[in-house]
Amino acid sequence: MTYLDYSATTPVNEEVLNTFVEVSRKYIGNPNSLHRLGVEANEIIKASTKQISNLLNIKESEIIYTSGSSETNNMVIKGIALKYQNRGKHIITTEFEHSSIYGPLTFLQKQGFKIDFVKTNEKGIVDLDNLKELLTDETILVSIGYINSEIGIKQPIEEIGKLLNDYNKCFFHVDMTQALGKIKIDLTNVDLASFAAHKIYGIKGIGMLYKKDNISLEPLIHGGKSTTVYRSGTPAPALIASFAKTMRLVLIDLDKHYEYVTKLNKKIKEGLSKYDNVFINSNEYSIPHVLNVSVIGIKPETMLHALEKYDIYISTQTACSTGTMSKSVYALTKDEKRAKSSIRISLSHLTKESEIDYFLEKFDVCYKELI
Amino acid sequence: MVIKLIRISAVWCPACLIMRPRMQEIEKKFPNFEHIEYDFDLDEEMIAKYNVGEVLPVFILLDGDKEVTRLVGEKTVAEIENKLRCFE
Repeated sequence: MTYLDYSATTPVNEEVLNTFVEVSRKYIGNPNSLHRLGVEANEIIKASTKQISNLLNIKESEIIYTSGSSETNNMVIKGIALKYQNRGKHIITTEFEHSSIYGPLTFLQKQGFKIDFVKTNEKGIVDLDNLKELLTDETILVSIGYINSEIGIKQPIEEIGKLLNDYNKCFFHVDMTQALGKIKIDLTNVDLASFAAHKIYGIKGIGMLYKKDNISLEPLIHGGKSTTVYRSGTPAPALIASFAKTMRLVLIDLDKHYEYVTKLNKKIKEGLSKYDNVFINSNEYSIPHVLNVSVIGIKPETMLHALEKYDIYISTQTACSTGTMSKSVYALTKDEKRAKSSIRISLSHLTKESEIDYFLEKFDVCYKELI
Repeated sequence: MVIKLIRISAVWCPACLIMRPRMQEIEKKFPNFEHIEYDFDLDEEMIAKYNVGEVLPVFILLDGDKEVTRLVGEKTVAEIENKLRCFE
């Protein structure tokens, strides 16, 4: 199998899976129980939370566990809006976000909130001047993804965060789901951030919100204290321990992995450059792990299934589209043909060079068959 | 015959978010039209007959049951207004 869809999800690391199994077997108590079994299970959560806080350089009290980034993004957007609506009802985002950002924003818009989209330049980067123009006394939240999942564009989060430091009433949320484990994370100028384990070789079903201590939220799930008051439900020691483990492992050799993936990315780009109908949509602001290309004249799902016959797995990305047109690619290129024919190849440090060779060989076969 | 303006959108679509306040403006400008909003995912049966294409949101103007015009994707208020004036 040649798996080139690491941005969708990643295979679970064996060590992480073993941690999950071991903790599940050994610690059977409810962490909220007062007896010894509960206390032991709670100790596992405390130790894991301590580890995550050290890895992200944040406080333990700033971690809220969730089921994943869709829940976290909903928690932030609805939670901040409901808690701070007395300050204002204005939220700013971009046209390059995940649907779990647009979903709660649509919900809030129907409740009377004003949603604005900050302009991006021809490379897809947030226009800071336009952001300044949009910010008002009514703005309570700016939500911008660090890495766009479709094209891999990296936003200047540090600069945006610094700019927003001057706006005391406005919080800054960054969806870091696609960034963790690929690039360095600095949460200094960020108020809230979303993370998910399954994008970093962890188990599906666990994510977290980083929330600065001085910020409050209206919970999505009410029911009293769990690991925090902001998210009720029986705490999951095995998932939390496995999350801590995978985060620790994925942050080892980050620079080395980045360099290696850059090499793979370059190899694919060079390999695809010989085709007249292939256009690279990812640009110099994209991280090397995500390579979005348009194959003009071939429907994305047709290419996806053609490659699948050779046990190669890539993805098509659709936003604002009932079919195959990519809104992100359209927003970036202003080219409908490219937007309707884009595929995403996403890479990992686990990807072998031989897999890239195999992909390029079979891409050539599919291209010649389908064009 | 009542002129109906059907709007088909989805919660995951940024253009639909952008268009909602503009359509609220349109609603005010065309009070005689019947304005109906469908959700692409939730109202599957209701929208099946409209043959929605690849891009959202979709705006369909109906004179009775007959489609008289259609707009697709992000549009300015002026663009929509110009298109609808002919059918007022």
